[in-house]
Amino acid sequence: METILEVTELQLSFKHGKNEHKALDGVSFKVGKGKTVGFIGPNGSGKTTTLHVLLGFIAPDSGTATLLGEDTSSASSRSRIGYLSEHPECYKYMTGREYLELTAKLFRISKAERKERIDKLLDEVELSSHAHKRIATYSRGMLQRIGLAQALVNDPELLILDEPTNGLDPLGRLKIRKLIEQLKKQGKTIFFSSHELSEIETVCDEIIMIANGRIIQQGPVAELIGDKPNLEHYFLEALQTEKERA
Amino acid sequence: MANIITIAQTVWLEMLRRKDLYIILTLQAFFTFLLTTVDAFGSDVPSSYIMDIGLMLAFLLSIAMSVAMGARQIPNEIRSGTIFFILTKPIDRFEFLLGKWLGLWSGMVGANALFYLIVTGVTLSKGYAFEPLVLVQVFCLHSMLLGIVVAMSLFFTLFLTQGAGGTATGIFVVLCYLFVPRIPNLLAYESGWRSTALSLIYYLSPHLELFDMRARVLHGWGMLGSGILIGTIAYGLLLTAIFLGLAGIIFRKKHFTRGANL
Repeated sequence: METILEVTELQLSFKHGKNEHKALDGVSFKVGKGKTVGFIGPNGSGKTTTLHVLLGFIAPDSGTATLLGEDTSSASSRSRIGYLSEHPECYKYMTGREYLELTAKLFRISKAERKERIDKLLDEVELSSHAHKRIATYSRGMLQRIGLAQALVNDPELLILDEPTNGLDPLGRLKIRKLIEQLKKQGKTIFFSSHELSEIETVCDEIIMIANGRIIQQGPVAELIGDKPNLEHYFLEALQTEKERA
Repeated sequence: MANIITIAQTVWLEMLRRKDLYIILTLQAFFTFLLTTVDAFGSDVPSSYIMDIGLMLAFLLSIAMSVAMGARQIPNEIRSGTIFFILTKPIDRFEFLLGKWLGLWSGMVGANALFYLIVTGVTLSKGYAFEPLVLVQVFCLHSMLLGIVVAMSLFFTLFLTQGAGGTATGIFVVLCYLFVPRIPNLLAYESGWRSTALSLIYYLSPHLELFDMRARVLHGWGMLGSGILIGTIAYGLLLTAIFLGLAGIIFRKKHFTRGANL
């Protein structure tokens, strides 16, 4: 299977005064094409830091991270990915359409194709009637949906979602989950970080579990859960084992 | 280049949708028109004074605006998190910085052109005669100065907060503009290491006073020679490139970690 995302022996430490905190301690994993992979771990385990290395926000002390075969530090590695964070970062003075236009321009999508694609995306995320309103007037759920639309503008091969349903009401969560399931059916590779374990269990094919900056488990969801009642049960047990080991 | 222009367009859009630009333009127009109504010592204010004060206002307001707007660009992107949106797109960090500079500089030049139009219109209506091409030269060098100031403010805010970066840029501009040109006068009274230190400051500091040619219009000194004009613009471009280059080096290595539980 073709590897879309590959992380090898990532090491990263942060200095807080005289103290040094090891945020990532030899993190390695691979994500195959077409898979939906859940990235889970407790708060402070290194999930967001790993995502930030993958997206080139931070350079690791050592180790490599490649997206579609290219080093994450290169701008071109980001041309075939889409990213949605927990709090979509939008230019509030723009309208929804202008924001998507900007995104499409940064991906060098031609003018003719841009319009068609943006209309389709606005329709998919149910924001067509709000496209000409300033983003500053959008609700939390609408922000998340315009965020998802911008992540899909370039028709990405890999989608990186960082807690995409966090803080949404049940209806908003359901809408986003349906969109993700739709993308999964389209064969997109999705790398999905979330605290919502039931969501991960429903949506993902595989999981990667991180704790204390180390990968502690990875594999197909059904295989890992085994005879446990659900993913949450398995997650808590795995954390306990890791705690005892540490 | 396409990415640079795209980022510049977002800066223009932001400038148009924020109110501060309109307020400053209105202030400039208000003060310039106010001058025409002043009755000093029982007689009208001479039109040369209107030109003098109008151009001085244009200089002060455009520099203040460049510093304030330049200083908020990157810190605003970081504070609002939009920097993360940008960094996940296929755009080089230096392209982003250049786009910010281009958008801001061209916006400032546009606003400055309106300042000049207001001042020229008002002084012409009062019957003031001047060489238009000299005013064009003044405007060109003034625009170059704004390019340097914008690059400076982007540079300072990459390692300082918005407030501190803006203040540092303001102080640096004032020192370079008012203090550095007077160093040769001080050198006459100094010797030894002080003289060496002052000479070093003089030769290493940006000479922003070279870009202020208002006196040529006001005193009818005529046009600058083309060699001097090109040389001054080349010096301005060099200063801009130095500040943008330094900013680019810092920006490329900068870590962004909002939201991470470090």
